[in-house]
Amino acid sequence: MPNGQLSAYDPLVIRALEGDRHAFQSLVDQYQDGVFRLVFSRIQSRMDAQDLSQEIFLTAMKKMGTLKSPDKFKSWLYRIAVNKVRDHLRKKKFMALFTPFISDDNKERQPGNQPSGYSYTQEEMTGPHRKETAQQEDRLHQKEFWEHVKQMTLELSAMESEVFMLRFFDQQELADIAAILNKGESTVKTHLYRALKKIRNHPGKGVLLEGRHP
Amino acid sequence: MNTERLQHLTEDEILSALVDERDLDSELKDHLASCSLCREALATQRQSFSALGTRARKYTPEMVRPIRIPQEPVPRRLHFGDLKPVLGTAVAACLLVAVLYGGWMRFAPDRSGLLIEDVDRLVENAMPVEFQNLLGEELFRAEEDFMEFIIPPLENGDDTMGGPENLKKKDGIHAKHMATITA
Repeated sequence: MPNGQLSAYDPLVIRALEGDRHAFQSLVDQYQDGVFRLVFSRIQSRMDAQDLSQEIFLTAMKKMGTLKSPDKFKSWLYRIAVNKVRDHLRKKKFMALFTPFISDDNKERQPGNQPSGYSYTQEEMTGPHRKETAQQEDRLHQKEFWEHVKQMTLELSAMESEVFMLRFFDQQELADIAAILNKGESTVKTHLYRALKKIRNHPGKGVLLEGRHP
Repeated sequence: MNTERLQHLTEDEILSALVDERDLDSELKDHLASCSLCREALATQRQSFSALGTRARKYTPEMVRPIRIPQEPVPRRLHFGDLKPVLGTAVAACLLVAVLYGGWMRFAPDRSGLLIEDVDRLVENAMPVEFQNLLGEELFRAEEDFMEFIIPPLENGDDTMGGPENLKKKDGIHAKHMATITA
């Protein structure tokens, strides 16, 4: 089951609820890519996204006993992820007050100080594929894309941005988004509508929606 | 009567449809169902945003390493069976308290009579005896008859102090009493 639709009673979730560690590890294997993508699209730092994803699953494991509806495991897990990301961004904002001369607190962690927030592994930096033009171009597009996403989210309120990303980046249904954010479905729709309207008027719309590169 | 809408959907209406087509007015729904231009506009918008999601996934790097959870067991969800020992202990503690309290009530000396006496005494005069002596209240009560004898209460209808006759009468009574006291 690829990161997604969960049957009403997923046997893995039931077994994990009974304390089966292997079943929980299987759930981790199943959802880790989705959770990592969710985190990366919000914080745009590979290392931080890795650490945060690990933390999300540890929290989920510790709180597994509090999951009331086994059929809503994914929404529950995504809610933990969204809250962790929110906490991370809040901490980052707070820390930025004390480091006014460092624009990105990940600079030290990123080899080559990649300004996009995307940090390359050692293998990527020194590997044989590094100089390949196609890859370089792809990385440039990647960097540009996430820069535009960052600019776009600055235009939106926190809730609009979250709803939009959950809908289109994480491909969640409206009902699931409502469950993840603990809001009513009509509230979610209102925020989504506002977000779409703002993005439609955003100057970087061409790059974001049509994939055009200036 | 033909109520079909002739105008195409506006950009805002297309966005509303993109959020949730079911929320559109029936008039707009009918128009959307019959108008290929509006359907195409909606499909284009939907495609653009879907493509955005696709690019976001494409431009997300791989994880550095797969996530591994620690070896400790996953905390289990609490069942009723898990609470049995706790509930048993609580019930036993309640029973013990009830038995001890019952036994104490049965064998403890009955002090209810003493309590009633104390209450009666307080109702009669709430002031402690020591203070009553200081104020002479005990003395006053003991010699009430005597004081009544010294200063007799007014008789019925004798509520006026004026008039020489009354004064004479009172003087006479008083003299009589004083003579008795002196004797």
